[in-house]
Amino acid sequence: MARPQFDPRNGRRIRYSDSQVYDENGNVIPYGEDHSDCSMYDQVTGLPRNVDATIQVTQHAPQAAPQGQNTQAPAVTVTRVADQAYEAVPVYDTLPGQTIRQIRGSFRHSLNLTDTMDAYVNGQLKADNDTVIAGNNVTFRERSKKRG
Amino acid sequence: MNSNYVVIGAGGIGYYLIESLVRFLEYQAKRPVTVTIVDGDKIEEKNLARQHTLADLGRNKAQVIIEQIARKLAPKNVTLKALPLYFTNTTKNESQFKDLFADGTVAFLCVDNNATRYLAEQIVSKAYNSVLVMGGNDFEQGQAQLYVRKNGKDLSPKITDFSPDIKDLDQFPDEVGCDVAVVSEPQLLLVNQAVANAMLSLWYSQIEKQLNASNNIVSVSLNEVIVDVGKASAHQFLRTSLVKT
Repeated sequence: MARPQFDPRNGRRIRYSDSQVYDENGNVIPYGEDHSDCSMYDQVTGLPRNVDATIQVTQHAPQAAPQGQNTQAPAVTVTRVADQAYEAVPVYDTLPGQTIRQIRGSFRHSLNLTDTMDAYVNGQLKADNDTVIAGNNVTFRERSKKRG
Repeated sequence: MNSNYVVIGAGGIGYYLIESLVRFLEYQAKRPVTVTIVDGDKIEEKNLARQHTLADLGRNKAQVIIEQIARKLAPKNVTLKALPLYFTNTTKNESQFKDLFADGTVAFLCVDNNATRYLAEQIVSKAYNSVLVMGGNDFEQGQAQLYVRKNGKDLSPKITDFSPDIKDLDQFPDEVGCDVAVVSEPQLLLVNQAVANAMLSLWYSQIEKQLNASNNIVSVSLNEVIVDVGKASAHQFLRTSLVKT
């Protein structure tokens, strides 16, 4: 059964914790309100750590950051790979032709992207100056650690 | 039940993983198994901060570890073998490695290069039944990753399907020049230990427990554990392939 994306009590986005601290079946945490000191989440931004972020490149014209007022279909989806749940984040669209560097910058704060995350399109590693086209899904994920 | 265990790499992570694995197999699993340790590296002074002892400087890491374990435990159920060679594209066909990845092998990769990781995954991906657990770290963070083959099919995504950067190949250890080896980055002993434990936990939770319960591996519910000793945290993930089919 698909999990609800919004809390019916207050209309706020729901974030699901993958932490063992929480009951996965019942406990949900209002988005950005996790003050549990759970290290799964960045305690400043409330965003999850170490999960992939997938950005869908659309053909919409870019829009100003909507402050939650964007009524168009969300152009960005975050793939919460850890629990297979999906969460739509209504931030502004990307324009085909943008570079990976521009996309990383645009979504750095909203998706908790870092400079150490690699960008992949359909599993292929992309460089920062590579451009994207409509229909691409750009996934950012942390590089694996190499020493041993 | 798996009876053939291989640990490639007896350095920072492997040093801690091997003894725990052998103790578990000897005293808790209590079944006859073979554990083969593969490492062509010798113990150097720079290793002493995290592994091995002063008395063994200059000796092969794999050989020293099995001698230490034999002295400490004198295992009866576990047969220990040391292969003092690097496992690389050029050595993989040597006679000593002939049965290294025999059917049903559980392999732990504790190496410090992607070339060996990718080579091992390619071999395991052609196996009928096999388990591959990889570990790696930087200064404070590390990960353990799992790939399982069952009856000639993937029971979980390949590790390079969700960590494609492993295909960003570097050099095998026997190809690295002294200038590169000398400037290796520092590592914390604590993160080596945490990754070793994460690798064993991943194997125990996803493989060993199922085998104990039903002598069958039905599914994989976790395939990556990320540890961060700087934040005293560990998190589990079921990664899916980044390659859309």
